[in-house]
Amino acid sequence: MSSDTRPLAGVRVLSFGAFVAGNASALTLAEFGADVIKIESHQRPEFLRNAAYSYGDSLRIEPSGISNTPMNATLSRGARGVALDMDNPAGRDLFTRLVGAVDVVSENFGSGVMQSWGASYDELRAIRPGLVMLSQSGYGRTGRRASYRAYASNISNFTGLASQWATHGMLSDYVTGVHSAVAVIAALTRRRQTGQGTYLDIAQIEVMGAFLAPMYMEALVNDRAPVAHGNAVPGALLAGVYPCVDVDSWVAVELEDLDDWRLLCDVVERRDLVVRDAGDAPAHREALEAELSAWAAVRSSLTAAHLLQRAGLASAPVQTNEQVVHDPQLRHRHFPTELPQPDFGVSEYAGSPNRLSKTPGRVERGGPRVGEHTDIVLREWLGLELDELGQLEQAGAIFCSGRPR
Amino acid sequence: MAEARSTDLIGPLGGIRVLDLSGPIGAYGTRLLADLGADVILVESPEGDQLRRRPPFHHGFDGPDASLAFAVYHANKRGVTLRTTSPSALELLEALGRHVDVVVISPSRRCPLAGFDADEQSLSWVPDDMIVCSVTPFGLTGPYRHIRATHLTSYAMSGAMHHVGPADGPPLVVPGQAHWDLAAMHGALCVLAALEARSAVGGQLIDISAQEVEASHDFFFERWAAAGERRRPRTTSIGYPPTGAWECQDGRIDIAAHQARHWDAFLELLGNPDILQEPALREPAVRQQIFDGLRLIIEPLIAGRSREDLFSTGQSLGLPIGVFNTPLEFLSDPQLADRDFFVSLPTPTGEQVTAPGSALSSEPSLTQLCRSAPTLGEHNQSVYCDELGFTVDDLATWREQDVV
Repeated sequence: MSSDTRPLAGVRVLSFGAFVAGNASALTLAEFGADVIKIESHQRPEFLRNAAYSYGDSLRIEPSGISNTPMNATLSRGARGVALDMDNPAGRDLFTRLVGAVDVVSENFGSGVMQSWGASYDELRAIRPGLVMLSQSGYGRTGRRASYRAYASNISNFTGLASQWATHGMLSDYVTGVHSAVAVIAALTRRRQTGQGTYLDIAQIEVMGAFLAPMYMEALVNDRAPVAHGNAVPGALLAGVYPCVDVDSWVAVELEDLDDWRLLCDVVERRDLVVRDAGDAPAHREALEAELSAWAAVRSSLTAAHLLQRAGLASAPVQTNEQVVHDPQLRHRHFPTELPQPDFGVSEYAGSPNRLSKTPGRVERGGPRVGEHTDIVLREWLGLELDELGQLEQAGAIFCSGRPR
Repeated sequence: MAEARSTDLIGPLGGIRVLDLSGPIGAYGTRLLADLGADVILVESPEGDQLRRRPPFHHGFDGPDASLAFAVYHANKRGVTLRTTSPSALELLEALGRHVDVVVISPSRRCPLAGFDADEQSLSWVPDDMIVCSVTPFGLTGPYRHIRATHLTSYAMSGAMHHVGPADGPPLVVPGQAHWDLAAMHGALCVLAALEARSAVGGQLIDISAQEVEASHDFFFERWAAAGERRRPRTTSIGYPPTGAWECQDGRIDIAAHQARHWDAFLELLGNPDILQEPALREPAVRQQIFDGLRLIIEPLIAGRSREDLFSTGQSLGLPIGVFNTPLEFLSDPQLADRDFFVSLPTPTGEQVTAPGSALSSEPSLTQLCRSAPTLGEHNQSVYCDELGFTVDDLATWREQDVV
């Protein structure tokens, strides 16, 4: 028996997951101890490896000649890399053998791609009874839009989120990735109880439909268009962000009750704006906001937030990328984590937010090179010998990194 | 065999009891656990959960059961009342602790939880093998653990807000309480994982920080390490046309042309205009460098087309193209009906309303909807008396003492 007590120790996952949602769900499973294999085609590597996803001059070239970016190394961290060409018959044959050795297969291709390889859920569970298969897509695998392709921005706009929030938004990809990880663990729980497998048809439009359900209820029940609130918080006496002294720097403030209102009047030294009844607050809100704006405009966001907090109010700087990186709270909790990666060396990544006291979420490595673990995984899981690996590589079915293509 | 079937029907968390003391920040996660079959007991103060006062409200109703937000967040849960900030609640909390497998909490200075030791991060009234899941804005340890926060200020602190919003306007908070719901989602994820690990390690403490959840869903550290990025502009495009948003004849569309084949499909959608035939343009990094010029060329080519034509023709060519919907337009999209997405949700007012269904579509199904969100104290008698063995007189005494 293994001494690894993590929740998913011993669970094997084959992930074709690409871009954000596909990688994010695989990463979450890896954090809980699953052995996650990212299958990447050496003919068509992960698109996040494209130079368009590098920051500054951070593009790296692997010995194979394939490029890599920090975004890809981040999203695929924790996984081992196997390079397998599914368009090659020997590659597909090898994939079938791998399926026999795993618990979960995950994909977020366009519709019909798995079927074109003879790798539908029905075909795969015939090989591996009890298999859990995760399919993530924009619109779902059934219905009239099943063949439609989507990325997260399309979904944020399609679901109406962007109309309520001034962004050509993202969000849905990570939200979908985490929901998918929940679904996989729930399906593994059921398999442990009953031996039964599950096909997970996770659609980003449905994930967002459920995740943002409160926003949709006004329309569904009262037949009224939801109101976009901006930074106003329904029920709060005052809420917003106010510009501070530095460039593009802001402090967020929210007053939840009359005590808060009075405290803010004290801070800006306008006791005459104190009200006795919450119903009187709206009439004086503009005046109090004007005082708060003038007060914030001559202070840094950190100082302003600190003074407001010291007065007992809910407030915070709208933190920038730089402030998050140096945030004392995240540092104190050792959230940023150093991980090794063959081409980026040791660098800092976001840690795991999945903090379990005895079995904390964690990963050991940045994302793999294309095919970095092809030979070791095929030897470990299928017992392939060196000459067999050589033949497969010769045939173009697999690729083992370190050698130029 | 018949019994095994009935196990399937009650969901993978059938037989698991969860005590939900987390208030708004944890509500989405405990709803998910309930959907997966857990028996979730929502504990409200005698005045009622904050979400009972959260809009939108069911038109024509008022009072503590009219909130549609409450009806959604707490569907599938049972409900009891208890003044959990008071030490006099300890006897009942102890009894509840012996009755459940998981306790979900969100202790803070403003809303302390009886029996919770903030320095030791321990809960006095639960058995040792309990799974305790805390969901808070900043976590249970560290210098900010006691900072007062609302959803707005919590989101501001996370770093996600700064680069969202109009380019020349203020940063904008995500609608509703989505930032907290995402943290609650991680809480549910960790509870599922802890239940899987329970036979090996027993109970454990889960400490979810909404700030960390948001920081794990972005690239703050990587951007800093790779390029020293101090702040990100509030722009609306990834930066290589046609990826981005475009005005067409009767609305807006957006395109996500990431792969070379998407560029080919885009050209076909436009009827292969001569001006865009340069092969180097297949490379997104090249298009990124000539962003402004490309926009000027592409804008008029899209402006005269209708949104439905671009959407369906583009998709048939394999281009990831979408439309900007209002929430009402989205809800009436036939794809949701095709997939039977909506459910009839019972509300605490006794009505049945149409509501979004489960995020977790699967075959066979993992989730189910069994009951409406509770009315205030609806299950006091069944939980405190029938299940925990207290008497009706005990209950009456606690009512007088304002504990229940």
